[in-house]
Amino acid sequence: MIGLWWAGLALGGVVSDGAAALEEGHLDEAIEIWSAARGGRLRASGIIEYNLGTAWYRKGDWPRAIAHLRAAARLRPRDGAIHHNLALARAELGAVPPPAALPAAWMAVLTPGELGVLGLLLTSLGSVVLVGGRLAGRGRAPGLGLLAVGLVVGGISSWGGAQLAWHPIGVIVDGEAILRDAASVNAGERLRLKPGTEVRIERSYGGFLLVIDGRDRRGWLTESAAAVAW
Amino acid sequence: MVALVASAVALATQVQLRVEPKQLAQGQTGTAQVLVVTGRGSPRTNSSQPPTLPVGDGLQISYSGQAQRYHSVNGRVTLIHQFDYRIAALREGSWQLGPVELPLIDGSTVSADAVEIVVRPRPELGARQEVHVEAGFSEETAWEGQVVLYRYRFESTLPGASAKWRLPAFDGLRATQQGQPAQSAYVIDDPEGAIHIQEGVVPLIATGTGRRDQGVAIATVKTPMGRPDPFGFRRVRSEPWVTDPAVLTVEPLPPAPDGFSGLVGDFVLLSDVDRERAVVGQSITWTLRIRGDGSLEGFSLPPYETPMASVYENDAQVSARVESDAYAATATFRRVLVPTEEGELRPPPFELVTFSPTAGAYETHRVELPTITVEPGREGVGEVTSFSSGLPAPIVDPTELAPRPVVTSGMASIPPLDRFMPLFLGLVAAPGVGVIGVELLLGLLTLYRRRRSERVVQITPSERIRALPADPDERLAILDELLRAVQIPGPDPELDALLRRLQRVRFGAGEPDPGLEAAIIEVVRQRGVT
Repeated sequence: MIGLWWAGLALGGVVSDGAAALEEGHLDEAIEIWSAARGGRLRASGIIEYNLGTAWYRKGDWPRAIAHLRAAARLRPRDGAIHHNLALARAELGAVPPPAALPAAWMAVLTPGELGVLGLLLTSLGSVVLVGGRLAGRGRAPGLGLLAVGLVVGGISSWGGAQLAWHPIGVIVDGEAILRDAASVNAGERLRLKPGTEVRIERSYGGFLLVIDGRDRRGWLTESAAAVAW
Repeated sequence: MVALVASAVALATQVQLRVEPKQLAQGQTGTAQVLVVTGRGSPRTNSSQPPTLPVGDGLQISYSGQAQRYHSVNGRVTLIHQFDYRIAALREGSWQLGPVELPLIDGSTVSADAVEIVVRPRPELGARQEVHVEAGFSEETAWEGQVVLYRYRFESTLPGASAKWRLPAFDGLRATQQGQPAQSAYVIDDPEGAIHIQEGVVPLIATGTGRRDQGVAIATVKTPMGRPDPFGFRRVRSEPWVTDPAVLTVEPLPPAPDGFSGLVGDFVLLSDVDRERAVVGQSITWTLRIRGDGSLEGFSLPPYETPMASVYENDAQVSARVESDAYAATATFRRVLVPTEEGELRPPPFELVTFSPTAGAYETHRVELPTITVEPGREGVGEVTSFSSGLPAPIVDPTELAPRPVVTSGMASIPPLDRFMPLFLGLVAAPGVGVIGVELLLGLLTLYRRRRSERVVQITPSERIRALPADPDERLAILDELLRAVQIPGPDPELDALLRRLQRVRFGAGEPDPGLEAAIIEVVRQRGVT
């Protein structure tokens, strides 16, 4: 079922169309094609995010490049090209706080989706071994162990996916963002975040985002100030 | 760092020694970094081994790791090799760390000067309190526009304790745009137990005048309690601690003299002209550096004119940082002087008026510019001779980094399954869980049956006596059974007599024997089988 779903999300000609436009020097057209192909969180593609990040980098918009490359790194954490371009984009920024970290260290190696597939495989295998053991009259311990590990792994992946969905990374774009004490334009100014600052979004309320930066400083900023790295 | 990288882009390999903090308490640890910045085409170091750092007797140093990263300035990428060290302050005094000398692959050597580290006596935690918090301004009186530092500090002897601060709103003060608040945490070894310290500094510009006392700062102190659970988590006690209010009075600036630059702080002005001989039309770079503890936000140099030359603004770099004890701002301005006539160019001195909070008065900083000898420009013949058969190949810098290309085809990423994971897991786990469920049910059923059969067997004679049926024949049969159950091996005249009486009633003439039932029950009870 998952395989069918995955296959249904194959990117078709969108990637190559954008690449061809880029090859011909039409940077804006390539960005337009790939931006239009972006799905929601459930249909996000690491390749499209990477291409968008690279295109924004070439355009000189480092904060937007970082936003897309962070999204790409979340979806394809073991892709060296993404981390290479992300490092280049970060190097173009001035002094900004350190990037907000991922909710868990394992997300730097595996995506929640990949871990979920692993959990499902282990759980399925555990089920098969248990049923086979019942029919053949063998011991239940191996099947029980696989089933338990699979359920735990699946649970962790579900938690990780939920964390990324509830607390995504946002990147400050289009100028300095004012971090306020409350979700109101009249609230006190706490500090200013420079473009390119990578923050973790805690929650949203009335057009404002409660964010926390890499130095654990927290405050509210307007939704338009940050691009969310879905 | 930016200045170091910027200079490395243009010049040779550079090395810098950085220490944080430069003042340590006895027992405290700090960090040292050796940064090797290699610019375009510059020779690299011939080893990735950490450089040796000479250290004074009162300090102990240990290597803790290294990292490499790339930095880009104006599209040119430089390599930064960072070596990290840990410094422990052993004895009170002033000690030197460094200098650093680093050999390069071309045989040359680059070096960085030694850094002085002051080790203060070990701080006393008031009567060995478990938790101590404090906050306040670096000074109680400031001038309008001055940068003041708001410090907050948390000390604890409780292992693992940490504090999260909620600072006051800073009414009449504004955060600096350059120079981010600094935070640090460290541990001081103490014979009576380690002291955990967290402290922070917030640079603020005094914008309002008069009493600017600020409210309390609240530190939410979290302390781990009890032993960790099997997953390694511990319960945490959260407790708010409150500091005293911070006192500050901001004095308005006295009437400003003409030409006041707007800078408030103690500044140093330095000037440098890159040549003292030039030809007409040649650019002469004039660099002005301003350093001080005041804010340089939005500052631009006052206009400057000189006879016999045109003056152009070139570029400006302004930066600031919070160091352990002070706010340090630096600005570098570059101007270009272009002589328009030959002769002796005598630029007038450059003056900058600032307000010094230390002196409480306006100060005029004055720098003299050297006399520049300007010669007439030479006219070229206007011929260009080429010895090349074509255009030269573009120079390719091997250290230049380019972004990796875009991808032209591929599959979608595995979607996050968090919403559907419970459903999918339930589906694939169902057969296995079903097997486990069935086996559990079967096991429970077997256990129930076994318990039930054991209970039937274990009905005591007393219970059977209490449950004797009403039918006389059935009662006699059960009494017969009970009587035989309590029969002891060998001769048993009493029981044999009772059995004979019972059999006579059951199988003989059937004459009633009124005392038989009571006698049998008495014997059964006496024999303690009940």
